[in-house]
Amino acid sequence: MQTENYNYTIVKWFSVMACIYFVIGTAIGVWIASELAWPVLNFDNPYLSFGRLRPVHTNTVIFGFAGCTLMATSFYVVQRTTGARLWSDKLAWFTFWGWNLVLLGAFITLPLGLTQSKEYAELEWPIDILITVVWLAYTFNFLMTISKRKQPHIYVANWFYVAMMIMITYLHVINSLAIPVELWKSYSIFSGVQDAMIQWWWGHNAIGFFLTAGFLAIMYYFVPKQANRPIYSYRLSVIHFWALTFGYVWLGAHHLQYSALPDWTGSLGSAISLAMIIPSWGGALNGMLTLSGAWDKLRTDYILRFLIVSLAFYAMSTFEGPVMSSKTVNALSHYTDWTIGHVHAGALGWVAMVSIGAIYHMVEKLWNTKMYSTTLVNLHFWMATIGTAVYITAMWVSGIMQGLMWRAYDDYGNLSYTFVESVAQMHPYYAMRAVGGVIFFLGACVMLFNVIQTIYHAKKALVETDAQTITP
Amino acid sequence: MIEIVKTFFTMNMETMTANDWFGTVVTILSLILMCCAYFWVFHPTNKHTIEGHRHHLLTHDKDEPI
Repeated sequence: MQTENYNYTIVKWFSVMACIYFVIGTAIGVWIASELAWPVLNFDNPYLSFGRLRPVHTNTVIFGFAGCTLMATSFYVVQRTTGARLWSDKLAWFTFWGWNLVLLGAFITLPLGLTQSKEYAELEWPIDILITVVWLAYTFNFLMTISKRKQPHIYVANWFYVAMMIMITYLHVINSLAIPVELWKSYSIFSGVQDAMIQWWWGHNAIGFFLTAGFLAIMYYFVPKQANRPIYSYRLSVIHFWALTFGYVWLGAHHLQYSALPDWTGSLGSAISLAMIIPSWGGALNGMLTLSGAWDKLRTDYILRFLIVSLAFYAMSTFEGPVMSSKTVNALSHYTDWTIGHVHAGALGWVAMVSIGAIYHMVEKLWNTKMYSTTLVNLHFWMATIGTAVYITAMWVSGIMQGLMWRAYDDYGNLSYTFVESVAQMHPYYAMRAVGGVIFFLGACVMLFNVIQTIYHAKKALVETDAQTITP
Repeated sequence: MIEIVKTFFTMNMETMTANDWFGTVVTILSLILMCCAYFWVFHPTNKHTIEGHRHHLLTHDKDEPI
């Protein structure tokens, strides 16, 4: 494989960092899940409290693991589908170090309690500015690489990446507009219901464009490549792209049902959410039906299993989400653990699984080898699947129970249960969630070990080959 | 029933701000463009051209750079 014409080094670094953040992020997730089940684990230490560690978990898995996966795959895909090397290696390295600096900033500031208190946008203004600069450098490099492509056609995966880049720039900048009062303290320029609306316009579109559009790009490249089959329908992919891009930006208001937001706004968010089932399922089917006539590959190709199961979770989450957004269901589900279960069906089942499949695929290509242990890949698959299933099942039961307990009335119109009673009822499910998380986390450790061993043995084999070439 | 529907879709245009108009126009234009995209994609004469890209990864993305 002639690799010197493409910049694969940056892809390798981002891929390895994704694996590392995967382990760190899920470890913190397990810790905070355990804190909820066994509060003694707070150790009365503010730096270890759930409120401070929870954003560390979300920032690590979203921006660390998912972000590095997106950057690794996008730099890989754009070069291979356009036939052009990255426009600027320096800008790519700036993106790598800048992005990791953002993560380092998150690891330091969030446990110290320095936060804007906006979900998935907790980081204070200096780090927000750094994110903007790094993201623009990343976007510019990607677009310039496309502009010097050697293929006239721009493959659909690149369209999804570009949609993600443009929308995340727009969303991040608008939502992070704030007035700094100190180096590490700022106040949003929005207030009241406008602030809530802007926050959830960002919040849901971080899911829609960062965690969906970007990962659909991954799906549209890695599923056909790993299966070695053409995508089921290119026309469906075009429709999927435009419907998703047009529709997703409307959904944010469904996070604010029964709030001070005008009623029609929530209804609109809910209606468009339900309509989004169509393109989402179209996309999921497009990926799955790529295997039409070659389903037997799933028996032997463990990497493909990750990719296809991720699509099953994608289809499930994109059905569950719109149902939860409808006002009737939302009245029960809002503020309960059902939401946490839904998020993790998407995060663990869809985002993580498709990322894992893509990273395994790239590791084999980038180091021109096979995975160190196929058995470990298979083990990881089952740990990830079982861990996710245990986690989301616990949260579904817990969430629905919470919702029912909170709104139960007796014959006199009094609440049947106190809030504390509902908390006590959650304990077994919180313990079960922690167990599911541990299984998933151990799977991430297996992956990191397998990837490191693969790289080590590939390098060792290369050195031995070189030595044999030199020594007659 | 008609009254309810009428009430639901009533717009007081006089109170609409520049922001409201900007959002409305952008939304309607996006919707029209998306409809055009649907028409173009599903038109039978374009099927061959668009579906021809299905094989892009298999024909143009080799391990060796093109």
